[in-house]
Amino acid sequence: MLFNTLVLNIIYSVLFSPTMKTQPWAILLVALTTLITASAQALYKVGVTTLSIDTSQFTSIMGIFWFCFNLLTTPYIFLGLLLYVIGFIMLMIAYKGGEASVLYPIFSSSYVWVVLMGYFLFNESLNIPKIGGVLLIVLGIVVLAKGNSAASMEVPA
Amino acid sequence: MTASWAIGLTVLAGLCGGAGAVALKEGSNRLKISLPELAKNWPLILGVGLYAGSVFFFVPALKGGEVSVLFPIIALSYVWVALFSSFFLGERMNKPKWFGILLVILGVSLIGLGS
Repeated sequence: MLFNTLVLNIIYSVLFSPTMKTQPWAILLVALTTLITASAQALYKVGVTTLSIDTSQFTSIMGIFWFCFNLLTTPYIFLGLLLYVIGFIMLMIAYKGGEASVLYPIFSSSYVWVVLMGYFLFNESLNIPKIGGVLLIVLGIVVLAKGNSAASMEVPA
Repeated sequence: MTASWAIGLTVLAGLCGGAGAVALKEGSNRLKISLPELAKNWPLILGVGLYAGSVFFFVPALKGGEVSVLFPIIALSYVWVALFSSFFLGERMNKPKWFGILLVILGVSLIGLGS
C-alpha cells in the first residue's frame, strides 16, 4: 500500500515535475543512491590501491589517455563506474522531487556508508572522529530537511 | 604532506561537483524520456560532464594527498551548490539550511581526520 503511494508519487513527479519543496521520498531515494555510490567508492578503493600512478604520464596527451584507459579498465574500478551510472539514474529521478541545495548535501550520507562499510567489510577501525563525523552528518541532514520545509513556507518577498 | 597539486585538483573537483549538481537539477527539470530530447537537454549533458570531471579530478587527488586535508575541501561543494542554486535556480536559502550544510561539512571533515 505504502509502496504503491510511493511509486505513484515518483511517477507524478517525473511526469509533471511541478516546482515543489523537497519531497521526503526524494530525500530517501538520495540516501539509497548514496548507498549505491558508497559501494562504488568501496570498489574504487580496492581498484585504486592496485593502480600505479606515474606522474610522468601527465606530461603528454597520450600519457593522460593511457592513464584514463588504465583507470577505466581496472575491473574493480569498472564495476565502481557501473554502480555510479546506476546511482546517477536514481539521482535524476530524485532531483525531480526537490531542490538541489537540499538533495545534494544528502549525498554526504555516502561518507556514513563508507565508514560503516570500512568497519564491517574492510576491518577498518572506528574512532572518535569517524563516529563524531557520522553523527554530525546525520544531524546536518536532519537540520537541512527541517530547514527545507521552513523555506518552502516562507512568503516570497 | 599533501601536495599542492592534490589540493588544487580537489578545489576544482569541488567546484565541478557543485556546478554539476545544479546543472543536473536543471537537467532533471527538463527531463523527457526520448533520445532526441535528451540530446537537446544541454544542462543534463553539462551536468554529466561536470559530475564526471569532479570524479576524475578527485580520484587522483586522493592518491596524492591526505583525506584529513582533502575531505574538508571537497565538502565545500555543498556551499557551492547552495550559492549556485540560489543564483541560477532561484532556490531560497535560510538559516537552518546553512546550519545543516555547516554540520555536514564539519562531519565530513571529522571523518577525514579519523581516516
